[in-house]
Amino acid sequence: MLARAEISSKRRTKGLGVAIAVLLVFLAAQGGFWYHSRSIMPEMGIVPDVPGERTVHALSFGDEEAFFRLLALNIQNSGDTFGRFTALYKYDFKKLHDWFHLLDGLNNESSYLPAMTAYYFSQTQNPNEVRHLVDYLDEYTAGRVKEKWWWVVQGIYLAQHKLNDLDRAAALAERLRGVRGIPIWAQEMPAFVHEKQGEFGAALAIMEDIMKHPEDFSQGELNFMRVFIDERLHKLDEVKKEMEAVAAEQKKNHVPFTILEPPPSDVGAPRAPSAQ
Amino acid sequence: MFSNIRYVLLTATRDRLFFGLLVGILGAAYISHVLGGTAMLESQQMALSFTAASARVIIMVGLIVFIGFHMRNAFDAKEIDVLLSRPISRTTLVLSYWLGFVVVATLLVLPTIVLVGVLGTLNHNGYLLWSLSLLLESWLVVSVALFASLTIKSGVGTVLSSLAIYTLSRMMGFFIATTKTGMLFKTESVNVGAQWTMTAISTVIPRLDFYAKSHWLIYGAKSYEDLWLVLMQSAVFIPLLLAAAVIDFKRKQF
Repeated sequence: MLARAEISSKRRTKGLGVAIAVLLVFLAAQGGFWYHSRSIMPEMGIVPDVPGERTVHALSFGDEEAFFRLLALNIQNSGDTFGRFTALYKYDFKKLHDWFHLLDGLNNESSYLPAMTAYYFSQTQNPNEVRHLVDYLDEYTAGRVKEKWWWVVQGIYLAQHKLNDLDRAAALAERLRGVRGIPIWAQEMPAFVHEKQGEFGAALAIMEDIMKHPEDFSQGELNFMRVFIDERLHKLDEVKKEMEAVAAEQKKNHVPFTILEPPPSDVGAPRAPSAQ
Repeated sequence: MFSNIRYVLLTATRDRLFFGLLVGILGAAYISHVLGGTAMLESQQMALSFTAASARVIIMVGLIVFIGFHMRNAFDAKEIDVLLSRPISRTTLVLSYWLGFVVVATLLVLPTIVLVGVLGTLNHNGYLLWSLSLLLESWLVVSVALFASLTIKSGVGTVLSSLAIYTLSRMMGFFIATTKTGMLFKTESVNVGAQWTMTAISTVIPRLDFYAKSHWLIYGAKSYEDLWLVLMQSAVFIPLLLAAAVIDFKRKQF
């Protein structure tokens, strides 16, 4: 009986020795693996690859709004994850454009993507890349200028001042021509771009079109138009009588000097305290 | 019947289902709020959308797991046999289980609706529609899980098959739209076959992609059709599943 217990104990000790030996061998192997792999880091790209339209619809599991928000937030933070901060010139703007285009398929009512385009990505140190952003704002606002005029204005600004492409700015600005119901300054944008292009006649024609609806603007706006036409277009003589007639009518109707025209509430633009 | 409903509620409380899931939903809402706060614009919309989507998934998965294992346990512990030894019909027993799980689902959905309301209502009608459809979706998921638990002998099998049906139901609209394009495969006959197959499957799978869209919370419903689709699908599919469950249960040998 005692001998059997001794044998069993010896076997256990031997088995334990083998187990410890195996443990040490594999611990050493793990050490070797660590030594080999310690410098291999996960690849952290900046702008993720753009998935297919079908993939995105499939992965949304019937709630496209939530998936849109998730992906949009992902794009906002791309390049700035895992403690990194990436300069905007390193971003692939073509990919960004494709992402925005794709996400518009999930939700094109939200102002989130155009805001990211106009306020954030447009700050890139490589102004040539801004053309992709202008292209996106162009697509985003197509066919619904009255609701999305703010983003047309942002597109004009980017084309004119970041991209220095007046033709592109003029093409976009042309969309705002004759669109009533939006602020007068936005309706005047095509005239401003034409003035920059030296096309004073075209700019004056736009101002004349706006003047045909004096009920849309204040006395202050009329004064601005007068200064613009006189000092920047040097064409006051051509419309002087027309302007005086409008001024007399406004005076008679007690049109206020200024009409507050704040930016839309959902575009993330700062607002005057009185407009809040 | 009412004693069985009370028993289901007791087991849900005993298993800390309410506590666990509600803590999960609160955690998800907090994370959604933080994530929304990092958005450069439309923070509230972000928080609402993430909270609504994550709470929905937590509730539905929680219900499926609870029902799957509760019913398995009831079979293994011979609780069903004991209940059937009383003067209660098999139909009543199935209905009482369904009602019990519906009460559990409702008790989970109501605080979620309040939580989303507290986060902010951007569109009143959309919020009401989202709330109603979340409630009906939970009832429909209860029916799916109960049907699976009465027909499949394994708890894990019940949970996995219910999750599979839930996923398929959520993606059914996408599948139908994709196969209808006829562009999936190079061979036309395969495309036609895929379209037929998917159409056949869609006749017996509910369209859960009509339910609880977080889009409604922000922009509202597009038309009354959104409401009708949810109501009609629920009115048709819940009784259908219950009838199937009752038929299967009646044919079971104990």
